[in-house]
Amino acid sequence: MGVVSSDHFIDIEDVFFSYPESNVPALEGATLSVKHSEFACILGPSGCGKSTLLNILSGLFVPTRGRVTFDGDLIYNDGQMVSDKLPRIGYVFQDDRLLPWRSVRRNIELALKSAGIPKPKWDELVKHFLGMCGIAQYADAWPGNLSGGQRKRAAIARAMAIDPSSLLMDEPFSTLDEVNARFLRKELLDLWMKTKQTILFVTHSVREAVYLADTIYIMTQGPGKILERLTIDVPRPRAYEDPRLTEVEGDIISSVLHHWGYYEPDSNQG
Amino acid sequence: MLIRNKQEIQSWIERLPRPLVKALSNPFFVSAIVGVGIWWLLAGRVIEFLPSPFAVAKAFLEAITTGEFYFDMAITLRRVIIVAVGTWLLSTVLGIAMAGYWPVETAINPLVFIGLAIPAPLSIFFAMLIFGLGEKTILIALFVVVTPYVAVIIYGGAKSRDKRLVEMAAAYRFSRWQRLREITLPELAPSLISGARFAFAMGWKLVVLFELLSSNVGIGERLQFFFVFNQPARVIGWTLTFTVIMVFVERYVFARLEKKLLAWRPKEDLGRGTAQLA
Repeated sequence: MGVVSSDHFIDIEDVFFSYPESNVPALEGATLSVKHSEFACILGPSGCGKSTLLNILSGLFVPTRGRVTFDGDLIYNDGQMVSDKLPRIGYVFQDDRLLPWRSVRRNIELALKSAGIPKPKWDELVKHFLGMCGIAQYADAWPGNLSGGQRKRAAIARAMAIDPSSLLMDEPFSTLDEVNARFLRKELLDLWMKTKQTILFVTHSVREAVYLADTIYIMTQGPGKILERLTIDVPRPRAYEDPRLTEVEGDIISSVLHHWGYYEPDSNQG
Repeated sequence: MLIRNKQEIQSWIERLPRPLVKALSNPFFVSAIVGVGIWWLLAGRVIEFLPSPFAVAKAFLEAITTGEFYFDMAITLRRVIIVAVGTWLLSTVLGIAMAGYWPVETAINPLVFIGLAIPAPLSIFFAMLIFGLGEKTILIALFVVVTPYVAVIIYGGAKSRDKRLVEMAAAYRFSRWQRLREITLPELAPSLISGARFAFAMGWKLVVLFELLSSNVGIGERLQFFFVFNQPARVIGWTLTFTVIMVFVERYVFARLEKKLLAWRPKEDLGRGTAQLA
């Protein structure tokens, strides 16, 4: 077994994954580490295997090769689940994935129940996290009657309420309008500053990644592996217009153009 | 009195008794009145043997005031309920199992489609040959005919399930029971209700047919009797009694159940962002 640095919460080493019905691998030797209480972003183009990586971490898929360690416990080793100590994880999907036939409150309660949190605590937790996400007044609403932003907040509240060891977020704001998305990103950062949960956030937006992350892992075009690890040193709170962020964003874009299958127009001419 | 504009129509309507206005603004009532009117015009004039609505109403009242009617009705109703509930339960298990497990799907699918293709009378004739006359024969024949239809409805619903919710349940470690109760059943509710409606309606239609062919009691047997003795008003009058029950079951059982179970569906006219309390 490899020696794992003690301040790392998630360690992914040389992970491969192929979908059963496909002969093209989705992940090909992905390696990355996320520290305790870190906000890490995985940045990559569509189809690069970002979501697959999160699905492996949440226990939905078992990697075909490689090792995954959570908080020092080896969970997956070369296609085998070697430990059932998979920690409790809050997963915010790209779409909200609330049960439309259960109220917002019930959706959160179901997650609490599955997480083994005792019933007497549910009411307080639901109130607390819906309040934190600014939708306490919609506790008894059907998800289908809420706006996209409100549903997203409910999904975030559900993920946080179970007291997860880490939060996995799969492009949660990509379907929202930019104003709503900016507002929610700021709120997410405020919540993270309060709870200091480890967050692994997947996105294809360079701007979103540089605004949110402590560390960015840039992935190659599929089959996915990590191209580069980048630390964003710009202090928080950050502003979207901060020239330092714009500079990092520009650097990332120019460095990934080739790797993501694009070419700079000027270099092709003449 | 000449009516010149909208306001006059309005004031004219306002002078009518309230219950009459209410009845006339109910499309069900209006279409029933029009339908009975057309029936009355056709009866005895265009269609020689069609009894008039009055003769049928008389036969209907006569039926519901005799003990004999309730005896036959109880027998038929009991058979309909056994068939509707039994085929629905069986189809639910079959439909979910077929959609969820490919070996079951492979094994059962051909049987279901053969079942769909068997003409209804064939099953009662063969049931009579094998089991003789009697209630058991009717029930077995009904199960054979009705189950494939209801199973196909539920199988269709179970087949088009949202895999994303199943993934969410796995990521949040829902128990097997939670997945069934909180995801599978609510997701299947529309097809379960359609299946129940279909089982009930088809059960009733075929119970009557099979009783007519093979029973010595029940509404179907009575209809056969009245038909043979040329009493068309009674045939329609007795049929009408069951129609009343069917409408009642639809309005007070299925429609209410559907409203309750599918209350979560967003109302189009409310628009997104208008939170409705559950």
